[in-house]
Amino acid sequence: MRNLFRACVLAFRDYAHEALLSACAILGLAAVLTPLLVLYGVRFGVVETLTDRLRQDPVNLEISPVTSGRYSRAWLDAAARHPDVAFALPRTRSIAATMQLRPAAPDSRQHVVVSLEPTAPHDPLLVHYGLAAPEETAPLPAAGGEGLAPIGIVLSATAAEKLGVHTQSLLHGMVERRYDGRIERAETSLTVKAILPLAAQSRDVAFVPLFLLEAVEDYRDGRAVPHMDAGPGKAMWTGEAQPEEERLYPGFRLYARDLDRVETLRQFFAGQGIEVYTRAAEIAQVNGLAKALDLIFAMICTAAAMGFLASTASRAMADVKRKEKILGLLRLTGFGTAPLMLFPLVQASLTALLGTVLAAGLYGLTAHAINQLFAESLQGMEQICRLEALHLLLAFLLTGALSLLAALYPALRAARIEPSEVIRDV
Amino acid sequence: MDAVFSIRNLGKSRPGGFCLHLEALDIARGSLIAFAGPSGCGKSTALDILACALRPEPYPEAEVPGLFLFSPTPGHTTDVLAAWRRGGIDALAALRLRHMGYVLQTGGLLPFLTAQENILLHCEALGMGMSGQERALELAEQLGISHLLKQYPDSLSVGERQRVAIARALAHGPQVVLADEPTAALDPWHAANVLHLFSQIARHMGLTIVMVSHAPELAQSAGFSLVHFTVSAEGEMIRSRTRHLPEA
Repeated sequence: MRNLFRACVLAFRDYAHEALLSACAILGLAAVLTPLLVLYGVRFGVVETLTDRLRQDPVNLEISPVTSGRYSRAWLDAAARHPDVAFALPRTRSIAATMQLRPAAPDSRQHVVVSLEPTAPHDPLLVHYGLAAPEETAPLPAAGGEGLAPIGIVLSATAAEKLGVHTQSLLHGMVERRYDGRIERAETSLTVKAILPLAAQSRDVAFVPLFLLEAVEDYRDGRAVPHMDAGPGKAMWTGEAQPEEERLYPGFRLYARDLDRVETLRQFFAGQGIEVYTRAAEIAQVNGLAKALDLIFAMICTAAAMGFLASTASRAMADVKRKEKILGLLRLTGFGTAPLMLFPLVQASLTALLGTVLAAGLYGLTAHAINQLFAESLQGMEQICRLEALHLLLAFLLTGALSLLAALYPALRAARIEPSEVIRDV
Repeated sequence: MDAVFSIRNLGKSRPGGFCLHLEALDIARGSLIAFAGPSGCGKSTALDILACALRPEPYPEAEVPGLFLFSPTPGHTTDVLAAWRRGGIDALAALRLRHMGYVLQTGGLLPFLTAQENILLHCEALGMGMSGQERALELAEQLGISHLLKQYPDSLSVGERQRVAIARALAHGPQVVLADEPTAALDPWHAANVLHLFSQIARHMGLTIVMVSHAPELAQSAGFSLVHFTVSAEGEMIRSRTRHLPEA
């Protein structure tokens, strides 16, 4: 045990004493490793930046049917439970999914017709912008009074601007229909729970609970929606009785759990005969780029690793030959096979460690320069050349493993040195 | 007789038809022995066999079987041939480290250690601590190299290096010191000087020294007894033989 430790110390002293030669070995390793790190940094940075951009926008996760279909609630619930689906809600007929809004203040004249989109808690679009979706699943009675409490909605920025309203503002919602030759109106009161930024939605849209969409569609179809009646003084949701048969929806709003599942979901729906709009093509492009870069990187890496293995092995071999007198002397001193093998192995590990550290430092400088160079086309925290600590650790472990592998045979040679053959000057 | 080494009928042949035959070799405890003979007669080979650094072969034509006993201290005897058969060079490493010192012709110092670290090499390997350190300083004083201890070998003269090598061979308190022409690289005046110091210190410490010598007269004047190697040509074979059995 003591001899193993002594061998490490002596190997280190020898390494330090031959500082110039050791520096050459370290530089040699860094010369191979630095370009690889930069190359991988660029591959990782570019692909991460592109994927991040895709991932950051929930639009890329959205899947919607191309043509309107007839989806039952049970079918949609089953789709929502699919392991690749993060969120799914039914849509009503888009032609019926509009509402005229105006601020509740009596003197206000602005009004705007908005499209209605269904929403519910955990809606990825709202979650992405840090907004809470309305939670009610049916109209609630007003607190302490007659009628119903205002229904929470999320307004798009353009709609909110046109109406001049803010979060917590109260709105009147009005639905018109032509029924029996007359124009009829139904009303409900709404409250703005949140406002969706322009980047997320550029049209006049209100995100509302599904029951409101269903009520609006039913009313336009000439049916009564008694649970929406707010009491005397408000236009009533009157009409025919609700039909017995199950409600069918023409479409849905659905989000995949992550980018990789968009394509599997597309295939899943295609298997059911449903053609869907997805961003699968863009995602596939980025994935394809990542695969191609990986392949190129793997090929360059393999070539570099072979060269490194050969150069390290020949260097270690030459070192053992050059130092055979020292090694023979250590053998004579009483060092056994294991400590003698340690001698070249320790030195190879030192080169691996210091070479990786140097390469990491040079990589850091290069990466900084590259990121500065492309700073204009990058947003926020994005980097075109980027590695994580894990990558550098992996690089060190691989280099270390290769170095030890390369030094193994020279180490065996070192241990087989016959002192009597080497200790004398010829 | 109390012998440190007791050898019968060992051999070592080299390619090219040379064969060394250690017919009978007893080396008495505390004696100073110099191997003498023409160059190429296998003196250094014999020394390496004694150092347990070279595996001997039993001499094929001998009637008495080969024997190699090493007793560093009275009563403790190791059968070296058996140890070779058991574990090769590793089995003998500890024995060599503990009981032997070795001085080479030249350049036996590790270039990456200072003179002092070189001297303490065996002491460190044995984990001796302070006792080794004191003896090392004392030896450096006796050999006149106290002022060189912080220097690296490449800044020392050949003579200074040999003194450092001698100090290293002695510092860990071995029972036997083997030296391979330790003064060959020195001029006659320095050679005599170093050799006298060497034998003086060895006598003082009660050591056994076996030395290969290129200058028998010098060795004798420093108090060494000579053991001669005789070379004879036997057909294609060149045979070098030695026989040394001091009286009991």
